[in-house]
Amino acid sequence: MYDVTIIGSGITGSFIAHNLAKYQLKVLVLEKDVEVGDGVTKANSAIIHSGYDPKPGTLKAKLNVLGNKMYEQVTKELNVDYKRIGSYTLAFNELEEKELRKLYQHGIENGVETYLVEKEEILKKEPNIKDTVRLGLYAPTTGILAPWDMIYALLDNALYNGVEIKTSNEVLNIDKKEDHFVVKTNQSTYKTRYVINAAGLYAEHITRMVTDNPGFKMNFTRGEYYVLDRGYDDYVHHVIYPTPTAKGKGVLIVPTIHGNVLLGPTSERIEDADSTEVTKVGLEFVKNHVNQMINNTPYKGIIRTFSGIRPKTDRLDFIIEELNDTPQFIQVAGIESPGLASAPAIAKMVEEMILNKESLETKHDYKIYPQKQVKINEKPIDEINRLIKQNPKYGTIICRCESITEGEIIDAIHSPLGIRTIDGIKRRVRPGSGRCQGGFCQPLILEILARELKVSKTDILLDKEGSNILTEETKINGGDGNE
Amino acid sequence: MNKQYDVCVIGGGAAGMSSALGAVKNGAKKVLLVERDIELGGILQQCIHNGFGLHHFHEELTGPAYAERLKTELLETNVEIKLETTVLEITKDKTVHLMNKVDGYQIIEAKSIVVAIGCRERTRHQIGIPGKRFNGIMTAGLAQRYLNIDGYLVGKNVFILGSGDIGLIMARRMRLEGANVLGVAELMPYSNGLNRNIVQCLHDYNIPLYLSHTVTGVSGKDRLEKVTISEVDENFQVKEGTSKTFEVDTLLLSVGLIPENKLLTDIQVEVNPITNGAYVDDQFQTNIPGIFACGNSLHVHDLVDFVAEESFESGKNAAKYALNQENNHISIPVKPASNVRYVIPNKIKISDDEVTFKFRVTKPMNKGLIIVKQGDSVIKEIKKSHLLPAEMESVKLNKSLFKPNSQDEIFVEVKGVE
Ligand SMILES: Cc1cc2nc3c(=O)[nH]c(=O)nc-3n(C[C@H](O)[C@H](O)[C@H](O)COP(=O)(O)OP(=O)(O)OC[C@H]3O[C@@H](n4cnc5c(N)ncnc54)[C@H](O)[C@@H]3O)c2cc1C
Ligand SMILES: Cc1cc2nc3c(=O)[nH]c(=O)nc-3n(C[C@H](O)[C@H](O)[C@H](O)COP(=O)(O)OP(=O)(O)OC[C@H]3O[C@@H](n4cnc5c(N)ncnc54)[C@H](O)[C@@H]3O)c2cc1C
Repeated sequence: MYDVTIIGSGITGSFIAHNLAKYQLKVLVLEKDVEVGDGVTKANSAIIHSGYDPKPGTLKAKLNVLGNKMYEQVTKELNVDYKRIGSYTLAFNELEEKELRKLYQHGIENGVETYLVEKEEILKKEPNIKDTVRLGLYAPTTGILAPWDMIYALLDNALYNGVEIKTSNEVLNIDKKEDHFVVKTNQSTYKTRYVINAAGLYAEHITRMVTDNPGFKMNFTRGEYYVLDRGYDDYVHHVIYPTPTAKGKGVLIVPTIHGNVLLGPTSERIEDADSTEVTKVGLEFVKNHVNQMINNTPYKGIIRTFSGIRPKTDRLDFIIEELNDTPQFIQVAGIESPGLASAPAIAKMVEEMILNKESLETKHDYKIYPQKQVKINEKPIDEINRLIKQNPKYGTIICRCESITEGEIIDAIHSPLGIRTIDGIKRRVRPGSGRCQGGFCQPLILEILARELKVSKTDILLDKEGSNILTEETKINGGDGNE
Repeated sequence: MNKQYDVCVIGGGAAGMSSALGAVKNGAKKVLLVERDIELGGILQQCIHNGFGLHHFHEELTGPAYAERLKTELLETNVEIKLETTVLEITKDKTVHLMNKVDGYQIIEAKSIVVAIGCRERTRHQIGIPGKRFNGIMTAGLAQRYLNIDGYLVGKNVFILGSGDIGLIMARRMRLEGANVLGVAELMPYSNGLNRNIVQCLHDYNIPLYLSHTVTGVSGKDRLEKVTISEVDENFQVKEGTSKTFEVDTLLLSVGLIPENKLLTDIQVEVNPITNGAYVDDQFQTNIPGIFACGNSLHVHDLVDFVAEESFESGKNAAKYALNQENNHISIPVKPASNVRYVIPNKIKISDDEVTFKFRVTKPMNKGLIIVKQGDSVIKEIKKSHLLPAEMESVKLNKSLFKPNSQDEIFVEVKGVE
């Protein structure tokens, strides 16, 4: 019997697992996908918002502000790259100016450090901004990180401290018993005292497994993006927001922790939780809105497009509570933006909910294991040479665009969490995320994966189940092709 | 810092090998050729069809056979070859940072450097094909590598977007390996591949070519299931009611190649936005003295013979630079004019040598007049039939034809004639 089963390995599930790992609890994380963090958390703006934006008094406001503060320490402890680069929210007309002043008040009420800044100041800091800008709101605590870096660090650490993580395990059914649940997946059945529903877009679906009254209705809103190549360091230096509207934060310009820039997202209601397509209309919308704020956008540097889907609910706030008619089923639903920024605080809240019901002791051997990932391209030459002597595979570059070596890829495959797919490797160590998008390195990575996992090349997946890259071997019987 | 070379050539494809040969045969004593792969040859290794070498070796060779010829010639020289070695960066004062598993990270010095690192394929994201990010959409060159080097098919029912040579060749290749190829769509009203490839890869196998068509939709669940194409008008706007749907599990993209130039742009080498390669003079020298570029990393070639020829020259010039390092010449700009997309070189130095202008036309022309001008005066006119954007044109002239003491720019243009 598990004490706690967390459904979902997104940023919320991962933070919860990390927090619970320190107690004497038997904790299980179930994830339907092959790799962890392959849901909402992999496709968003990756901003740790400062917290001036959510309406004062909401859970979103409270947890965002708290979460932003908590990131400083947790990223340091776990050795995850995190930068507080600050943000400018910009007003270009009178109406927006008025809105912005209101936001400034929100900021004060939410307890967030912000400053109203004049045009000259903005243009000095961000010379590409259109000089029709009238007013800006500067928030120095706005941060950026790679959401999946965070997830890997949290889950590696949870694993070291005894949490069990089972991927490719889709929860199909939950049976409510007297004092526990029986969770059935496509692989197995697990008994557990608590269920934590951190299933992102599928939170309503999971809730309906235990009750006919979930208490909310899930909606889906898609956001589409462009990714620019690295190397446009002069384009922007801060997160740039337009003045938000009723529809949300609008189209942003966001430097990423790896030196790329994101342009987007759109905000469009869709029917389906897996409509992760990009559309012509959506992408044009992004360009038009970017062009209204800033000059000199290096569109020729576009290397990728993607979209993400927000798990909004009709309650318009995060839902973090024990289900009314089902004790020990803890709901973590409607975690839309700023869900990433709020995740450490969400996890803290869930932890406290359990602490209020149980008296828990911490594990006496609990320890924090910071990430030790070798990043060759960030090391000084002497250090690189020392590493190559130890392991010559650190000397072989596999990904040209991002300078990633074979040694780093093998490390990822054999990390505690283990990586099995091409996209998993890409998220964990970055090959394939550069300008050629895997055109050169994908066959090499596929080969390394097959070799290290001791499986056939045709078994290697791009990401989800069924996404095998190679469909059949042509030369099994020593045939020689025909040409 | 260790080892001083006369010439360091980066990239061991057709261009790099030819360039190293050009350097060593023109007096460079210490030449280093660096290649990241486990063997020399570059993209030729995966081009197992024939049709290479008609101009250079007067024979029809396969890609690997062509590479073998250059390699054999190279191994007879004293060029030092480093395989499985990646160049991470070069500097303006001509050091080369390289890394491999045996020597580790090294910085070497060279008197001149030739960058011959080839090109990459444009991807789905760069042309903004709408739709989901499911599996089954891949560049044609990547599929070619999986098939020809690794021995695997990437799908059974295939559609191809773009009629570049790689797409055309893969249409035939996948067909021969037992896949169904349902068609090739091309945005332009003409193909972007060599004529002989259209005949030998599509017509001979009854694979339809849909000109003025583009992909307007892709659908499926975890893997591609359907591709929809539609006709476009002169302004590339989709015509309503012209869509056709194909049930396929694979869409291959042959939508253009982009010269690799990161090593060069990192040190502020000027780049031509049309070719995406460096601006070079008639020595193939970039705006940084002693740094040269050639092959597909300079501009995308359709025939390897031209790569070899051009790169041999660049190696020769790199050797000359390494030996006397003079660089005090007057250069006259060369520019594309009507109906010409780009010209290489981008400037020439007046002397009594010959120069070859290479260029591409902007649209197909049945008959054309190629005109080379300096300022307003016509230097040379050449009549030509069948000018195609897919086929690189070249004009060889003696530089003494140009006005020596004039700073007037040189133009290459093409006039359509009836
Ligand atoms: C376009 C966009 C932009 C955003 N920008 C920001 C931002 O800049 N800053 C910010 O703070 N927030 C942002 N967000 C919000 C943020 O991304 C989310 O709040 C956060 O990622 C949600 O994480 P999660 O763990 O709740 O969900 P997920 O990451 O989706 O995790 C849920 C997991 O549960 C798994 N799962 C589902 N069903 C089952 C099942 N039956 N069995 C087993 N496993 C299951 C899924 O596979 C998934 O891995 C943005 C969101 C979007 C869409
Ligand atoms: C699919 C395809 C089909 C073709 N078909 C024909 C045909 O039928 N007939 C014909 O005549 N021509 C054909 N061509 C054209 C011809 O093959 C090419 O133009 C020519 O081979 C290009 O040579 P290259 O040396 O410039 O580039 P490449 O062959 O790409 O060589 C570049 C080399 O540089 C290396 N490199 C890159 N970066 C680094 C680094 N940082 N450090 C070290 N090494 C590095 C690479 O590994 C590679 O080996 C075809 C081309 C392609 C792509």
